[in-house]
Amino acid sequence: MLSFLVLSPFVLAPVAAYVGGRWPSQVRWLALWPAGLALLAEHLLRTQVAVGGPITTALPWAAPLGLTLQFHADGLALVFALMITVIGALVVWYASAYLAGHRDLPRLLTALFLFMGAMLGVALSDNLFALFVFWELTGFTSYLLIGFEHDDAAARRAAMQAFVLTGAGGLALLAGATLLVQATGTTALSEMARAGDLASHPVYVWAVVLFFAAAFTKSAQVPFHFWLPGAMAAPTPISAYLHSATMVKAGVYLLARMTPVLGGTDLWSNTLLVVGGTTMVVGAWRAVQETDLKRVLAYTTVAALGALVLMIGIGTQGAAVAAIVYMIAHASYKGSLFMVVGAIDHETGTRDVTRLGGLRQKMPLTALAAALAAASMVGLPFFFGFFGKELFYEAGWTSARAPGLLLGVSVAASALMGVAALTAGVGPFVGRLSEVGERAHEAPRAMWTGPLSLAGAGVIFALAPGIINGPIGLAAAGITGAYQDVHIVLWHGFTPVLGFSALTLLLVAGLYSQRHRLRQLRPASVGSDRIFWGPLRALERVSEAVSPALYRGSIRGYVLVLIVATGGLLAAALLVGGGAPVPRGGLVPPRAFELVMVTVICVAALAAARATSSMRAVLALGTVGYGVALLFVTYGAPDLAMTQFSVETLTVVIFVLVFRMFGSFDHLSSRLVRLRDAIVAGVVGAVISALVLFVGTADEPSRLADFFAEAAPTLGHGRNVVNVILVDFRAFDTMGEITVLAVAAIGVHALLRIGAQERRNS
Amino acid sequence: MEVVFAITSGVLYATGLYLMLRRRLAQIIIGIGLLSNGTNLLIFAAGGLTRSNPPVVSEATGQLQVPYADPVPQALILTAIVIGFGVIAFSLVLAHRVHQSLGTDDVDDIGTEARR
Amino acid sequence: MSPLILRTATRVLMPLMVLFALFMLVRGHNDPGGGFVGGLVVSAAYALLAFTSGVAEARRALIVDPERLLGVGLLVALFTGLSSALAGEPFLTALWWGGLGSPLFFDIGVFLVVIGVVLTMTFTLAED
Repeated sequence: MLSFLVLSPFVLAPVAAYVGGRWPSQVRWLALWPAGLALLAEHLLRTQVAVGGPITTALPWAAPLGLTLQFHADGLALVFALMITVIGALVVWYASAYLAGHRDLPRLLTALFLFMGAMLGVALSDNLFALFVFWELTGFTSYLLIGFEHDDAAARRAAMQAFVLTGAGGLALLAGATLLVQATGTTALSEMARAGDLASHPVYVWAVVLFFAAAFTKSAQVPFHFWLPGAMAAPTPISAYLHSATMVKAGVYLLARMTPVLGGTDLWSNTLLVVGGTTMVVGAWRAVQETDLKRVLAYTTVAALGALVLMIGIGTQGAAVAAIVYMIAHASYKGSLFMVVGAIDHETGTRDVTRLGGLRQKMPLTALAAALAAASMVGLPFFFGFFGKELFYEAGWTSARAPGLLLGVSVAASALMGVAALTAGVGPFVGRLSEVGERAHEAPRAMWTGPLSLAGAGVIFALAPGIINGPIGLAAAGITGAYQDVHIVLWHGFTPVLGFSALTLLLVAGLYSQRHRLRQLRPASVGSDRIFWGPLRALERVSEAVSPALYRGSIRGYVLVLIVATGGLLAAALLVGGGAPVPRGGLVPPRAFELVMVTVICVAALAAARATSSMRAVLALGTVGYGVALLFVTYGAPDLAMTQFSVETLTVVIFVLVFRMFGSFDHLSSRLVRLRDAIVAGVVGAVISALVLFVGTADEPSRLADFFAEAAPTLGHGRNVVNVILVDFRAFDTMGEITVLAVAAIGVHALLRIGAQERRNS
Repeated sequence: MEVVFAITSGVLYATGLYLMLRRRLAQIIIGIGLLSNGTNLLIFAAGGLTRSNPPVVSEATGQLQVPYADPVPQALILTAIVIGFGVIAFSLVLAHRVHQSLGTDDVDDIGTEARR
Repeated sequence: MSPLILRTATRVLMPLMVLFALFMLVRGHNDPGGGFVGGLVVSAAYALLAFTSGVAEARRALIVDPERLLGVGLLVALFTGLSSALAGEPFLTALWWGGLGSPLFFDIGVFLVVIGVVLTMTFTLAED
């Protein structure tokens, strides 16, 4: 069942492309698939994980490499999978209207389903290397989706930036995974937690740093946060899905997953507190200065991701519960607000908050969804966001490290995020109807049902928290490693935390009234973005300087560079690494007639090089070939000799057929150039001689020869070992070879037929 | 004899490379031909030379007669010979077509001719 | 050597060469020979015929188009490989039925491809 959950979106991806191309108006029904998967995940969570603990399945993949598609579903993984599938279903539903009639809708759907499968793979993989593969796949599909409008240079740039950053993080993940697998002796995450005390292991620090690099780039933590606002170049449903609800949370998820394995040390907790806290404040602060609604939401997403990292850094049971609740709440209100902004953009053609207002008359249902989502984000009681914030404050308040400071920055950041929530969810709908809103209508049904149901879920969870207590407890157990019953309630008396919630609301109200002044505090330039592009530009300048010198458009120049480089490297290897070869028993003494043959070969080769007519050169080449064939006869290779004789004959035939058309070989290059070429060729030839002497006399018995000699008559049922190798042991190579030959023949045929046609036409 | 093989291989490489640095397509192709032969000799010598029995198992004893030539480089070279034929035939025809279409077989002129 | 003598000699030699090639092909697994050499010898025979009596005559003598031999040979080799998949073994694993083995069929595929390749090239070149 787990394999089906992860792999079926991959199967659906091409189907989606087909449906999108064939029946574009029916695309919304594709949403039923992730919806069904959500039901499946929910079913597994309730009936199996809640009762009997985590479930595991394994599919063999590349077992010799330690790669199995091993899926492991505990509460954390399934809650994450639920978010991926539920929001995925809503996003497909929404996108069917948002991009209705777009010619590239099939491409979007394919990438979207691929992403969904990859993301489910990240959530459910138990094998660290499989996790890495899915992780990179999310980055790759994200690249495709950010760059969806590939005619737009800014979109391409943003896609590239996100890809480079998260790709680098992915490599860090691979390195960290390799270290962990070596340190623990297992590739399975679920077993690593039981591997004992890793904190004193010599690779611990490196592993933690590498996993941090992966998680921080993916989850847009300072100083890597700048790619996320850039990623807003993606179509809005994609932003809602990847860059708010799911993919950016993969980093947080990875940290949560690794907590039982790597967590608990000062290095772990302090880094997460500092990075998470900084990201939260920076994101919230930048959010209130933006006027593009999507960028406002992007920066609040950065802030929320920082808050989640912070909670994982606190690491207590309370903080784990808080992180899960905060994550669910954020997915519901932020996904909803993104879809609302998309609807506004769709109807008015702008996302600039200063040009929007009064839309509630024109788009009442969208306005309702926006209001519910914003209320949750601000943290009004009776909304699920309130629980997230309360638990967050409480986790900070009870933290073992710097509780006062944590609570302070949390309140400040939450207040700023509240302002951003009002900016995005209330600002465009209240006040006087602006000019751009004149011609607006209510968005198509598929575009308000999505946000409304997401925001509505936030209200339902708040009013009846009992229905999600169980999943939250199971998910928190995935972080802390021990299950505890969870009872989140709306009212738990007059506590200091309640006071801070009230203070936050007051601050939101106060700051929102000053929002214009906040916007003017916007910094003049954005630093990180420049730091990212600076080195890349420098790299481009280096290649601009180097390339013209290397690529002069002359094929002889390339050949010369290749020859000199290869010869130089070979010579260096022979001089430095070679040493004198250890001769084996004794060299084979030459015989007189062999010396004659060899002399003939060498003279013919020199004649070919000096030939001034094509016919002479061909005959000389043929002589060389026959001479080599004779050498093969003498040294126990009759198969080679026969093949060489026939091939040489046919080569001469083909040369003669073609060379009717070529003229003489008089010199084209100057004497000086010829001299230079002769010297280069001569020196490299001498290096080759040394190489042959070295490898041909080194005392290394070939074990392969003995194996084939042994196996040819027994396993291969043949006595001609060479032939048995060709048609049995290495038949795959031979298969490839005859395919290449066939392609060459077809190429010759086609080239000549085209030529004949051209001549007929002219 | 190893020394002799080494020298021969070196001469084939040197002449082949020299021809590959020429401007005529036909000469370049002949150079490739010489280079293939030199490489085959290189691989052959790398397996060790024995002037004796081919790697064919005797019907009577069911064993290879010691000393026998190494069958592995032989299999590699056999493949290389046939592929080399394909490469040379294809490049010859390609050169021939270039000559027909552009009226030149000088690689330094092909770029300018093709752009016209 | 006048063309007439060469042409007559070729007529006589042709069947012998083809027979020899088939012999090489079949015995290749146990003695020097095999699909490559066999194919090359057959090709050489027909190339010789094309030189002496013209391509049209050589094409007639071959009966089948060389391009077709190319495809048929590849398919023979491929299906030999796939037959082991049917038997539940990895692609191209040798199967043996007494003295007769799938490598022989594979070698026949090689043989046909080599003939197809060489003759496609020489015939089209000679006709050009």
